[in-house]
Amino acid sequence: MATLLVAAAVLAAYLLHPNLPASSIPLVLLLAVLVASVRHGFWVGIFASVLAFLAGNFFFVEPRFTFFVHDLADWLTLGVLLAAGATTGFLVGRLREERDTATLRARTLAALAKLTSDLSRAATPENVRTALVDNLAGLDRGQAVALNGDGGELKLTAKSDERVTLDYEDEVAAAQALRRGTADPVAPGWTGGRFAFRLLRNSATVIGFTERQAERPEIENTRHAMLEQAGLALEKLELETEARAAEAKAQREALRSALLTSLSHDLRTPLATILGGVSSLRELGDAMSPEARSDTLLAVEQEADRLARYVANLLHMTRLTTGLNLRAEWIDPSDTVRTAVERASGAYPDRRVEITLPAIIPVIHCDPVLLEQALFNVIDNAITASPTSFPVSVSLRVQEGLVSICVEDRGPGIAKEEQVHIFEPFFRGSQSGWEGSGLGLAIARGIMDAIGGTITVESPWDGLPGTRMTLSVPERSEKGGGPRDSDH
Amino acid sequence: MVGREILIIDDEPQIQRFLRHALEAAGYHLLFAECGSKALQLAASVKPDLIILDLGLPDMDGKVLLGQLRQRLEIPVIVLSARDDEAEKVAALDLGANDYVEKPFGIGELLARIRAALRPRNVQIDAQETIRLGTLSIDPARHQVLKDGIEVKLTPTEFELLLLLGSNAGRVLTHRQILTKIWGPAHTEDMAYLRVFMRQLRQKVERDPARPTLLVTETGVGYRARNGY
Repeated sequence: MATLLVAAAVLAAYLLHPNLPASSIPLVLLLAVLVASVRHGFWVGIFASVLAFLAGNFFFVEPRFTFFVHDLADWLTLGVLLAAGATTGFLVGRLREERDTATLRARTLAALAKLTSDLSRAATPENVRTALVDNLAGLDRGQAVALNGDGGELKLTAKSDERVTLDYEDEVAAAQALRRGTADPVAPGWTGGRFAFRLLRNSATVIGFTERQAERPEIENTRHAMLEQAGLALEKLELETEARAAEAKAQREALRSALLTSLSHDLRTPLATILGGVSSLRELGDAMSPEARSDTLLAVEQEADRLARYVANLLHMTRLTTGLNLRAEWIDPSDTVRTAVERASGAYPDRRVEITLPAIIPVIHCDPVLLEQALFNVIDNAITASPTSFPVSVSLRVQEGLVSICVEDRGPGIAKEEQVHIFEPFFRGSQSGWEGSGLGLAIARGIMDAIGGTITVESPWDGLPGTRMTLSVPERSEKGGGPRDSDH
Repeated sequence: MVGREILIIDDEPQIQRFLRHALEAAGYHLLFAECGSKALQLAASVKPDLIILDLGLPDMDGKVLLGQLRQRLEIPVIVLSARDDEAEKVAALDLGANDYVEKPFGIGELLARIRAALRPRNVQIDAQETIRLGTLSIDPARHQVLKDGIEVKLTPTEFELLLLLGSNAGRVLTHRQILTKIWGPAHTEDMAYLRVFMRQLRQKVERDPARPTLLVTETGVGYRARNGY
């Protein structure tokens, strides 16, 4: 290129020289040298100036068509040409280098920033590895892979490009990196393999990436920073997992101690009545009035019932945690309401429970036993939480594909800050008059979750104190076609 | 009723003890078996009028024993089952048990089940005698139902349903049993039909359809016509 430029300048000067003074010819050549060094840098500038000097000397300086230099002025021309070419080339080179560096810096900063933002969204170690691999590869348009060595065996878990495969040499290098921390394809005594491998700090994740020859230190530094960041992100995730596990463990401990408290209270209280009542009847029965005997017996029976309900609840709770066996069938939700209310009336003969049913009730597909149990527990809760003078009302509503059963009481209600906790096992409200085991609502919630329904609480409702709990299950009655009445 | 023999198959001494006192006081003669093999032997040699079987036996599955009893003898069986195990109740009923009582139970409930099971079985829908069910009287011969003396219009299917439950008053019938008898063996899964017909029937025969007292739902199991207890 430089040669062509100089040749063009020589040609131009040759054509023009009959009309030009001899002194302007070096200026034409100088122009060619300047253009060459601006376009192609320092060394090309030097080369062009030497070439221009030689050509000028050959074509224009007497004796012409020889390289013979006899004049001091000609040496000066050479000196000027060299100095001009070198200086321009040097300056242009510096400028270009600075521009390149600035561009590279901007690119690496952008890559780092993108990785940081990707990592901040990563929820699993897998996300971290994928983000790192993608950004590493994007940094210098190369390839990158991530391997996970948990459990001793390295497994390829992420790659920047679907087509990336690891050669045997790469796998050996990755294994080495897992042991020693790094492995480079250009390390002494190392043959083959395209990837360099690095172990991420405090992890079993090995990252492999391709390097370009004559790599800029900026790229290397950025890559180092990226690996560090991803390592930190992995560590953070691990700490979070540990924290969650610790929290879950603490919750289990709390649950266990609540269970023990509940067992000792809810088993002992009815047992005390039963044992006390029966032993008094045996030892003092003759001295008691018939009414006293009958009342003692009634107390024993009621407490035994309570004990049975409590044990049933504990069993339900256990089944909910170990997994329920769902037996969905077509049911009439009004049946569920009636049987649950009947059970509640049996358990609390002196309490009034009102039922409201709509005119049209769909048949729904649901586990009848579980739904009834959930509803019974909610009614039970409403009865124990409200004064005896108020009835509890149970109503069935059908709207927008949902069948909802509302259980309403006009008791003191549940404080807003307690409403989020009432479905937790062994939680007892602070309102006086609550005497349950703290299991009923937790079971109801567990059941509704299991059968794909919901349970919600409103307190106060319709602007007045009291509690309204709503159990909802999807209708799904269109499925399988409605039953038709062939008699009509 | 007095003097009927009941074989109780249960391995719990305390349950045996309390049943002995209560049922003897109610006028029954009792036999006890703690295990399946002894139960089979006693049932075959004594031929009791009724068997009460606890499904949780130490030496064999209660349902297997029930199957063996049913193969050899036409003796009504009441099953004692754990609460909340509807699948087991249904399995026992479909195996031929006449009824079930959930543990723990009160003696009143057990006595009612015993009385219902000891009444002569008349599962034939075409029985000719008029059946009384609470305020209802069902006349199979004339296909007529009177509620407090006033005739109730029923469709043929509704009538059959009422007659089936009424002629088995006091006993539980599983969904499968009802569907098989009314709609035929091909319809044992058509639960939605049964639900809809049951609702229609209750609308017509119950005093307060919102609180049925005659035709009661046994959640997850079936239906029972209740006759004054």
